[in-house]
Amino acid sequence: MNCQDAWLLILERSVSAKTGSEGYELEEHLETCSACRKLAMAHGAVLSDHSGLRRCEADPVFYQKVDLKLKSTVRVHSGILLPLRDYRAIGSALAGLAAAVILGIWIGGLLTGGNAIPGNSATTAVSTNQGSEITEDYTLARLENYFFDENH
Amino acid sequence: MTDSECIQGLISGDEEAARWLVANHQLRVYNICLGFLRNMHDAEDIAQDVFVEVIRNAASFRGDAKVSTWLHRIAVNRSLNHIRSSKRRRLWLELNPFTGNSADDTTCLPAGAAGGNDLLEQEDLKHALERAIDSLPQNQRIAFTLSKLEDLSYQEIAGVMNLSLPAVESLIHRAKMNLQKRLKKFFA
Repeated sequence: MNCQDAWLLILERSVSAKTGSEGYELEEHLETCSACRKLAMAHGAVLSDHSGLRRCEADPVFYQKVDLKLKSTVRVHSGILLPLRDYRAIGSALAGLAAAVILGIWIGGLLTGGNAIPGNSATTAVSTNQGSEITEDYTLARLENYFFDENH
Repeated sequence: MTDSECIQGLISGDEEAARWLVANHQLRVYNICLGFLRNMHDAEDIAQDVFVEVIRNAASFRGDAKVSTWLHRIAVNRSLNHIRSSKRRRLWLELNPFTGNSADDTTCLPAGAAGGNDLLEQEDLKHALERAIDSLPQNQRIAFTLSKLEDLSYQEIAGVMNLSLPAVESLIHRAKMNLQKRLKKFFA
C-alpha cells in the first residue's frame, strides 16, 4: 500500500468506526511509515476528543432551557427587553462609530496642517479685526478734528 | 407522534409537541453543533437556538423534507454563523488596542514547536488537522464533518445539504484530497 491510499483510508475513519478496522494492509503500512502513523494518531485524537465531548444521554432540563429562551425572545420581539448581548452589540457599534469620527478628525487635522480652519480664513479673520480697529481710529480722529479744529 | 402531528401541534402552541420535538432530536442537534464548534457551551447554546427557531417558525415548514432534516440544516447553518461571528469578534479584539491581547493566542504555534516532546507534538498535529478541516471550502467542510464526526449517512447529508447523493460523495472525496494536500507539510 502506498501513502496516498493510506491517507485516504485514515481520513475515511469516522467517530463510531473502530481504529484498525480498515484491514491488515493499512496496519502493515502504518508500522513502517512514520508520516502516515502520525496522521493516523492525530486523526484518532481528533475523533476521540470529539467522542469524549459528545452527549449520549438526553439532558433532562434541556426543554426548560429552550422554553426560557423562547419566552425571552418573545419579550424581545414585543419590545420590552433586549438581551445583554444586544446591548453589547449596540455598545461596540457606537464605540466603533466614535472611533471613526475621532480618526476622521485626526486625519482631517493632519491634512490641514494641524488646523481644521484653513490658513486663509485665519488671515482674513485677523485682517478683518485689524480693519475694524483702523476704521475706529479714523472715526475718532475725524471727531477730534471736528470738535477741536481751530479752523472750524 | 408523527412529524406532521408535531408541526401541527407547534403551530397551535401545544407544549407537548414542543417537548416531543426536543426530547427526540436534542442529542443529534447538540452533537452536530458540537462537531462544528468543538465547544460544549457554544454547542449547548446554539442547539437551544435551533429549537427556538423551529418552534417559532413551525408554520413556515413546507413538509417536503423530514423535520429531522430541517433541524439538522438549521443546526449546521447556525453553527457556521456562530463560527463566522466569533471570528469577527476575535479579529476585533485583536485589532482593538484597548482590549486586544495576541500574546495568549496559542493557535498559531508552528508544527513541531514542541521540540521533541511527543505529547506536545501530537497535540500540534491534532490542531493542524483541525485547522485543515476548518479551512476546507464550506460545502466540503459540512459534508466531511457530518460524515466523519457525526456519522450521518450520505443520504442524510444529501438531505441536509439539499444535494444529490453523488454530489455528496464527490464533496467528501474532494475534502479528503484537499486535506491531504494541506497536511502534507505537517506529516511529511
